[in-house]
Amino acid sequence: MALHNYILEGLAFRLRPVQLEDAENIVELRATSERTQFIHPIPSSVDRQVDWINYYYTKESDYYFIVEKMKDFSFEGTVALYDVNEGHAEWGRWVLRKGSLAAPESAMLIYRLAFELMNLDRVYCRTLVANKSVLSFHDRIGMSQKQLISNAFNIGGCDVDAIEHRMENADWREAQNKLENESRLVYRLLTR
Amino acid sequence: MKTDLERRVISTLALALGPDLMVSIESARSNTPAWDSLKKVEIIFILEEEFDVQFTESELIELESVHSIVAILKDHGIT
Repeated sequence: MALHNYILEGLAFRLRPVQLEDAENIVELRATSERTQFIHPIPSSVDRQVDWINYYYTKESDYYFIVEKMKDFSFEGTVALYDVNEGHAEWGRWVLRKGSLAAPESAMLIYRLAFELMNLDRVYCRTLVANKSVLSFHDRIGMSQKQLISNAFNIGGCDVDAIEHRMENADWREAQNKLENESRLVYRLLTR
Repeated sequence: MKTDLERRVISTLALALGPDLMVSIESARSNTPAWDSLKKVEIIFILEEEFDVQFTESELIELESVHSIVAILKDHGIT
């Protein structure tokens, strides 16, 4: 079962397990995201999203989180770690509210889950080639191992290419420093 | 014709985003890959220092384009 009870707390944001009650926020988030062209479309019906979450609960090795603000636990976005297998995993379903400052810390917390709590050897993520600002993010935190995956996704009936970024456990410390620094800056902005 | 404020915002962003990027009045996070989530945080601090303002949390969310930055700075009385 994919039910888990990991809660990862940062300074300004935290990750907590997805619940059925999150369906409405998830539907709204993915429908209104400025990056809808870069993510798989989901049904606009809350009931169908509830069905998907119930289906997710039956999946193995899949850890789906809601990103929340620490100060009031308000909904900020989603992120997940999945296909955990033989020391490797993929992370994604990373969608945040427009203008959100949660990117550095939510990424940091997923890596913390993977490398510190699960002690995985390697984590990777796949980003559409056209989603250049997210690609820039991954490049800048030091995910230097990357490769082109042709026809990685089918979005809107079209096969699209993606860049797969990889991070090894040995590289995590350096990336962690960058993400922690950014997270501290965001915390300063949000708590003054 | 760009206003002085628009020119200042553009030049501030250009410094933040690097010399290889042409920043214009139409520049926004949505059309500027280098203006990623990490860079946004840096830009916020640079803007606050350059214009001697402190953005509110709701304004931080809106700092996504030259146009929105100019509008928010005007709200702070910057001309």
